[in-house]
Amino acid sequence: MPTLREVEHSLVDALLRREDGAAVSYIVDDGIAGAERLAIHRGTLVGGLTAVLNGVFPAVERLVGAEFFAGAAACYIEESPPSCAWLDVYGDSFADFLTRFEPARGLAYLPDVARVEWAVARAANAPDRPALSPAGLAALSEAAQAALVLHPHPSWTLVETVWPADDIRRFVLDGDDEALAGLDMTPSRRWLAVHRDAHGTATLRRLDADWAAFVRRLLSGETLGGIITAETSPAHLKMFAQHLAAGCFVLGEN
Amino acid sequence: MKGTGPIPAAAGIGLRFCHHRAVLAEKPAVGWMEVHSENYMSGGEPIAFLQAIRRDYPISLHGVGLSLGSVDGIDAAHLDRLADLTLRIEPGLVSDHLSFSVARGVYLADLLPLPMTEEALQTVCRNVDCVQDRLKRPILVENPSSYLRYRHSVIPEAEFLAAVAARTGCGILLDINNVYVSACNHGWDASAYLSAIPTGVVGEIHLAGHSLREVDGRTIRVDDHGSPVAEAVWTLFAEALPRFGRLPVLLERDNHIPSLADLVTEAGRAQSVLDLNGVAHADAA
Repeated sequence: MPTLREVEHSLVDALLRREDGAAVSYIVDDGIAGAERLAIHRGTLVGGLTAVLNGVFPAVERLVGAEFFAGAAACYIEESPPSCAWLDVYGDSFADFLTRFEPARGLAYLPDVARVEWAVARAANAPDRPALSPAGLAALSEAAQAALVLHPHPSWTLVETVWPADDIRRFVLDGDDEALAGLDMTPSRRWLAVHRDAHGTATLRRLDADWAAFVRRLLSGETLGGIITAETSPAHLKMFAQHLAAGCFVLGEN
Repeated sequence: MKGTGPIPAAAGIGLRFCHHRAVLAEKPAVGWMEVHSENYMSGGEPIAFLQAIRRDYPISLHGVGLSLGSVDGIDAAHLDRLADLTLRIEPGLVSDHLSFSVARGVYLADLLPLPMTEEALQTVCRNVDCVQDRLKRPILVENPSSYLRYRHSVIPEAEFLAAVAARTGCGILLDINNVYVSACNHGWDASAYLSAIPTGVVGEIHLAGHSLREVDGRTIRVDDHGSPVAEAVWTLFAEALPRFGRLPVLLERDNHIPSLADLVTEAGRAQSVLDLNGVAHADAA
């Protein structure tokens, strides 16, 4: 008689890797083969997780088509199944998977689109944390302000891409084929700050290289007094004020 | 209507994301609502909506991810997330399934059947104890739909479920559709199944739809939560009520979700059956 552990492990092998042998030997065959019964569960598993990925990566799905996406999702699920039922965190490595997914090799921009979509999903679902506000900062003494170490709000991500993935995503979701066809697809480094705004909506903001470097410095662990000095450029001060007003920073680690 | 508090012995509906705004705007006449716990463990819009809706409706948290049958035990991080959500929502009921979905650290995204053995029974009881200790409240455990049986199962499912309730003090969430589906798939007597469930421990009833598939020339019923409740399930529901009394009854829909108005209409039918057949001796606490 198999132990419970043997049964459970046999279902992992059967449902994720199609290695049905052990599981089938444990199942009553009364007119419907054990493999067919397991296929019902495999369909639920793969179908359910594919729907989750589809919900997070709708632009990727539209770019490659439902059949291609389902095939990619099935391979990803087998390679990187979720570890828990909290599926809002599932799909974090899908963009990296797409870079290795041979059938998508000709679609070099696809992983970047997935990175942007993941950041948007993360922005929507990130834990609720009170952000540091301009008023909150102003209420601190000068010494306390200088000693502050800023951290990104849990919903904030800086995405670096080579392709204009934000525009691709937008045009694909809008169904604007003309704009999509007219995109300048010259590879170059791009930075995108993605964040949940006060209304709960994910917002995307392009940063140039200088701004991206400054934002990275703001979040590097250095004190605010060491970053914002009399020599700080007006452009950087303006960007800091914009990010502060948008609720991009929190105090303390996420 | 009122928000936090016990779930009334009345018909409720499953609250899904697509109905958030409509529920707040229309405040439909249903007694309570149930959500999938895992859908509200993050921040942002969903939990904000749920916190708003709970001001008007008692809420039940129904999970799919505790994996009460896992031989490796309960995932402590997942249980912590459920505990946090329970504190925020103050639900009238908390429930999950008699199944496993986590093994070797992998979440298999389905409610997988357990062998009905003493080892599995002890495992489920240990895990239910763990959850109840952490949440500091009894939970309900739901009977599953099953499409396969194990050769070494020795305990009838209804007796297994009754034993879990007796040993842990948990309640039972009796899914009438699941009883019907499993009975059809395995040749069980659905009425006998109901008779084997003790009265007094059932805290909630689920109704849902299922689909039929042809496999190897035979029909198998699959719990898909994507169709209206089958007539045979309505009949079994009416048969169950005199035994278990007036209880909270939930209409579950997770696929092909109808409009809020249609869902409320279907809940109205459940309320009518409840009013006709449910004797008032067993209102849920």
